Amino acid sequence: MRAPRVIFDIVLLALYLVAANPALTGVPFHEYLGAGIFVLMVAHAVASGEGLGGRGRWAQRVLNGALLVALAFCVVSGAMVSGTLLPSLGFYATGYYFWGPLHALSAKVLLAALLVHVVLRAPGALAVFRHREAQVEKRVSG
Amino acid sequence: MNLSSKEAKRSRGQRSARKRLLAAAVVGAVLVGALGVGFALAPDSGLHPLTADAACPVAGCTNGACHGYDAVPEPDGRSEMRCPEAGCTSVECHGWETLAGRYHQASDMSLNLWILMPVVLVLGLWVVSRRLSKGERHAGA
Repeated sequence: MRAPRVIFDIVLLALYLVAANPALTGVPFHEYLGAGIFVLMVAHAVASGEGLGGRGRWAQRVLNGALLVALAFCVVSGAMVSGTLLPSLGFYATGYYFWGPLHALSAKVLLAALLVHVVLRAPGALAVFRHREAQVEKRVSG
Repeated sequence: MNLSSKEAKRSRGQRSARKRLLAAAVVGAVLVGALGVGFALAPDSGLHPLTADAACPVAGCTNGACHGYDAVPEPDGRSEMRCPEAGCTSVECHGWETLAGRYHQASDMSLNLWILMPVVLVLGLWVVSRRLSKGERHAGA
């Protein structure tokens, strides 16, 4: 993992945490931010595609699968209960009483799985920064 | 750089590109799958063009004056609301309450905070205890 990617992931996490609290930001902003974060999360997943292979990583793959499924349901149900983004495109969706609870449920699963993902990946990200710091110190002292 | 190491690098690059392509395909498939499962479980739901006479998707009101979450109307004794449970329509239906108090309201703040706050607390305590133990080690040395 390289430092720019770690920084990208940290920014993505920060944006997600903002989007995960629509009561603080207001729902219209939550919808636009959520759509943007979805695009960035897809980029993150595709960039991490290299990590799909390898042995002894089945638990991580199960977690990533759960994250992906939760994200997909969260985005699809979010679009179906959208009151700003969807109407701005000239559409509205029916089935609010199905998609609304599904959005709340998938958002909770996504948040919980994401916290586990962050806890598992944090040591790797910290190691990247430590390595970089050591390199800078070496260059300064050398 | 000799030829074999160049080839090895190219082969690694191709493998990496293939895996990224596969990851993109998996993401797309899961998204389509979620859409398919959702519409299979709720076949009545769907996307419709937003017109002036379109009924409110949550309360069935065809007032036409609303169509915006910032401008939810007050009960007016004229506009009929559709009950989300029984399906009947009435001017005094509790669809009004749903429209004013639930629809497009962020209802999950407390639950998100219940998850996020303990995490922040645990992380904070971990950082503080790490700093303190580091400080003690330095003082002892």
